[in-house]
Amino acid sequence: MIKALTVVPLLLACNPTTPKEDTGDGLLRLASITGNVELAVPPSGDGLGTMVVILSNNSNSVDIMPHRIFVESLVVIETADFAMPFQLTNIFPQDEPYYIGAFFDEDFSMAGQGSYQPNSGDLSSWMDGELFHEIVLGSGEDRSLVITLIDEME
Amino acid sequence: MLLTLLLLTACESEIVDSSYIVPDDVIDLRAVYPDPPEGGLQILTPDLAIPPFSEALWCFYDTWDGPDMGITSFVELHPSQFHHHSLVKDANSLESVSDGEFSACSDIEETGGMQIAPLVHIVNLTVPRGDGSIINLPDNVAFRLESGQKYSADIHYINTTDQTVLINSAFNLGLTPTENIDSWVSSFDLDAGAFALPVGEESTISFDCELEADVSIVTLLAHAHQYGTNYKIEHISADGNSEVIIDIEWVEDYRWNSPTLFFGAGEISMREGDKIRTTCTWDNTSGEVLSFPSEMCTTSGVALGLSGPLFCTGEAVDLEAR
Repeated sequence: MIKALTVVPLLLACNPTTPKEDTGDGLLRLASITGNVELAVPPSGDGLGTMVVILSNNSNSVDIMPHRIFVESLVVIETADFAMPFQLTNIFPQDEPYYIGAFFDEDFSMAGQGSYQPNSGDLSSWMDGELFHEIVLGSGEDRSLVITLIDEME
Repeated sequence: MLLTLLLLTACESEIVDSSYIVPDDVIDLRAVYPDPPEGGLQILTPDLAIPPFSEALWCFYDTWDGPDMGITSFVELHPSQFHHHSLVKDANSLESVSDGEFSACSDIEETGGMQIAPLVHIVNLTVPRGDGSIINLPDNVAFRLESGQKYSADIHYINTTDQTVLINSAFNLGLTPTENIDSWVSSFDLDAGAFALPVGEESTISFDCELEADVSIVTLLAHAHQYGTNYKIEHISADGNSEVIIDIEWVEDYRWNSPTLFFGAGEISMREGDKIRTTCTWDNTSGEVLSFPSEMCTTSGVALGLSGPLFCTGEAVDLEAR
């Protein structure tokens, strides 16, 4: 069984990034993020829900549509070592940070809303009061990332 | 703000060829973009130099010369910095443009490019794939790309720096043969047309667009700019009954992130002869009369049942200023 809530170093499980491609033509290459969503705590319900990974160009502070989203619907979490792989591609490199976040929507309450605010029973990439966290991507970079979900409602 | 607006009118963007030597004081955001999905189409604009403190709304024209196909994915590829919008529009009605032409849209489309409808708009009816495609449809549903379709790749950037910005933009379209498609969706833009919002007053414009076919709405998107205060979209049935679909208090952030709703097939059905009524309210505190493109009132969307992209300059039903 997964241990109860612990302070999880969210997004710190990054592997070293792929070295930037030196193409010599001065042109930029698009970036990508490949990784897993894992859990630090078990879901409180039956483990059936929607897993969402969001990459946004902004902090999503006004509940707006995200820049890019990956959703794996109808995830069934049955074991403590559950992990959902994800990949986000075609991301333009920039010095300004993107914002990335994830959550497990246990009761499908966010379906169709476009607001992506977790509520009671949901697990999320919450840390230091923020659901979304900064990530800077360089030219041609393929970032590996593990996102760990906690229950911030506890 | 005023200084920026004044400077934005002072410069003209230029096409840059591949032998261009990039000076040190240029922000070079040109990229090599990945190929489209196998069998797909990439629309790649020429490089464009945007002078300091200027705005570029440029259009790249071409024609699809392959067979009739269905568009199943659509990825906009461009820098986020300085970017305002990237659209691929139905340019069949623009007889004066030729393939390969890349020029300021306003040279050809008098009001800055709002008189034709995009070939696609955002749809999220299925699980997004993480590749940035703005259309996520069931496998047997697609937008139509007909043989001989003339299109315009409209790109809009605003350079707020004192350096020249170099960009290129691309669109990757995933295509599938028509025999794989059972249902077709099409985009629409319903626009208020020309208007002038008086200084220091609250103004409301309401306009109708009549449907020429039975449709099922799958996407509705509301677009105005920073002086908007309210946005309402109604379904007016032929017998005059009104059903409000969207009625929201407008906030400035919506300029960059248009409120968008998605509906399953049959959830919002409209009949031939019904109307979509859009009502926009603004509070013009800008100190000058506002008109397009400084302000907008455009309801966009996607529907099952349309025969192709639809652009409508609405029939005004109400204009009020106080």
